[in-house]
Amino acid sequence: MDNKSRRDFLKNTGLGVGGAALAGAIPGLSVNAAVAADLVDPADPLAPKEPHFPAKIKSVIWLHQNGAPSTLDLYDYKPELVKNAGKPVPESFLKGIKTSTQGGVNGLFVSKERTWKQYGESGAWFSNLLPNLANHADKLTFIKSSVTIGATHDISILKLNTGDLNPGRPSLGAWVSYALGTANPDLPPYVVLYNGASEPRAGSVNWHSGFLPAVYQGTAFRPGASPIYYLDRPELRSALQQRNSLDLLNKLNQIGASDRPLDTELKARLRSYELADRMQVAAPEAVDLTKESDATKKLYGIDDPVSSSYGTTLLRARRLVERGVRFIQVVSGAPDGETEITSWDAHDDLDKNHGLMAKMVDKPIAGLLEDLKTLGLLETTLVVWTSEFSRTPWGESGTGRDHNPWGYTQWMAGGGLKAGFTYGATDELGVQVADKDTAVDTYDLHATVLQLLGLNHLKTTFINNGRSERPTVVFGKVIKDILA
Amino acid sequence: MRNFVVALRFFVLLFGLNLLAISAPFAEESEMDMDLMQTIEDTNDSLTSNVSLEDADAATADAQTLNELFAVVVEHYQKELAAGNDVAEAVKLSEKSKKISGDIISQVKAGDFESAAHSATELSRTCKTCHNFYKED
Repeated sequence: MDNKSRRDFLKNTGLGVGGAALAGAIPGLSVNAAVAADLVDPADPLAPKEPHFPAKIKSVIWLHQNGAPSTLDLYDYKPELVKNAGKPVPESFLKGIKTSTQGGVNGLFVSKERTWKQYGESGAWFSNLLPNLANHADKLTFIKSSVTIGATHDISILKLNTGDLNPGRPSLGAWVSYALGTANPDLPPYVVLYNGASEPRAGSVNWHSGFLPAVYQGTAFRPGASPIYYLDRPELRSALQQRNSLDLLNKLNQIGASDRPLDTELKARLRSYELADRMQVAAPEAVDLTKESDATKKLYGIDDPVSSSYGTTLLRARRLVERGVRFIQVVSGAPDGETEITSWDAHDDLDKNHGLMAKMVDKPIAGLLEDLKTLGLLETTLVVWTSEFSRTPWGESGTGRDHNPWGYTQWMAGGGLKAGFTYGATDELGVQVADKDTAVDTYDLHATVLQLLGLNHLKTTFINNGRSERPTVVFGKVIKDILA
Repeated sequence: MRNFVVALRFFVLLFGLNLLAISAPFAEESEMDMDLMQTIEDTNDSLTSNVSLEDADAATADAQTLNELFAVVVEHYQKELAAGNDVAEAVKLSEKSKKISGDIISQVKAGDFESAAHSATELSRTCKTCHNFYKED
């Protein structure tokens, strides 16, 4: 097969490295421009690409609160719930929802430890669990009419990140990498961070590239000084030896490449060797906090054992934003050394669970917002506080709450948004969304994030098996009411 | 291949219509769900893709199929409503879906694929709303 016909073959079948260009459409162009192969360097699928319209933000920090916090205990103050604590849930509030709480729907539950106060000019309500974040009320844009599909945590987490209940679709971060490429050739455009001893339990399928080329998947940075598996140079090998090997390899490959100028796989391989070489320096530097001041570390709660690991993660996130990483997905874990409570999943003893988890994230998130603002980065960054679902107003096990996908709170902060603004509401008890027309599903959240990045979700497309796919599946509507 | 798909859709449509005609006196909603609703979902997915691909012929065929299928759904729920069942919302939403599928045919004909993409999204959301509403029924 000669080079010309081989190229045609690749174009027509969508195979090979650089599939982003060969098999898919460039975002924003109609697919008939699958000839996009001619417009994008197939050897550099991460080359920066222009958005569809001017972007409001450059980076996203996606704060996944793993385990589903009860937003009825954090942001969504319900006087009627307090008033009716212990009473059964009126049937009218349960219309149209299918409950699966073990032991049925119990009486309404309110923690005796919970107190509420309004903050800022916006007057947003915060519970006593988030005293530090509450001071940033006027920076936040609440979506109090969030909905999703309630299933197991793992399945709903998958939907939160990919828009589907089954594995196989790209995560939001992968779509962003595909659509915009990288802003820093020395670092991956999509990084996943987590605190705690092990990788998040729902796994790498949540930062997978799905049917997009693998180059767009998220790169998980482990806690600790060496963030990427197998990135470090072996101790027995000097930097000079490695450089010499790469130079030789490069020279040999260049000879091969000159004979086959259209061999995109070879070009991509050359690029990946050099990227790995550069990342050996850039990635550890990006997450090295030794040059951060004590005051900054304190701001993120790194001086407190409960918030230290999460604070470290968020300070790393800020450093990645500074270095042009497009999408940083942060999955909450547990404080170092904590083995009993590993997520927000409070089916029982909510006070103990949320007391610890809120303390773990409160100061770090408040610190992140303040730091971004001080550095002038909040205008060009989007912070998204999100979870797979939330928790019911009725009790479970006497002291906990069950899963609630029918109405809960998420928030965003940063560029292009109405700050100090609340969109939507739940009913008087916090069971489900009050007005179904304001319901914000995962797809709508994704569409809005993409919009702020300058991407039209309807035109961010990729051809998979002959079908044009987009990040929002067949749904998605930008929440225009929250845009500045 | 496309002819095969069109023929298959035609068969499913005919099958659905026959099923409805046969079962109308004892109106088994679940039977309609199994056959028509799956076809509607598949055709809707195809429509979304074809609108995105700006493939006017295929998008029109999909929208036309949906328009005919939603006519069946509207008729079904109107009969259910007349029989005193609590399906007023289903009538409203299926009528809305039929209208949107008709709008898409016009938009594609006019070459306005951007509006068609928004309409197709609205159609998907309407389907979702109806299924959420009647999930427990």
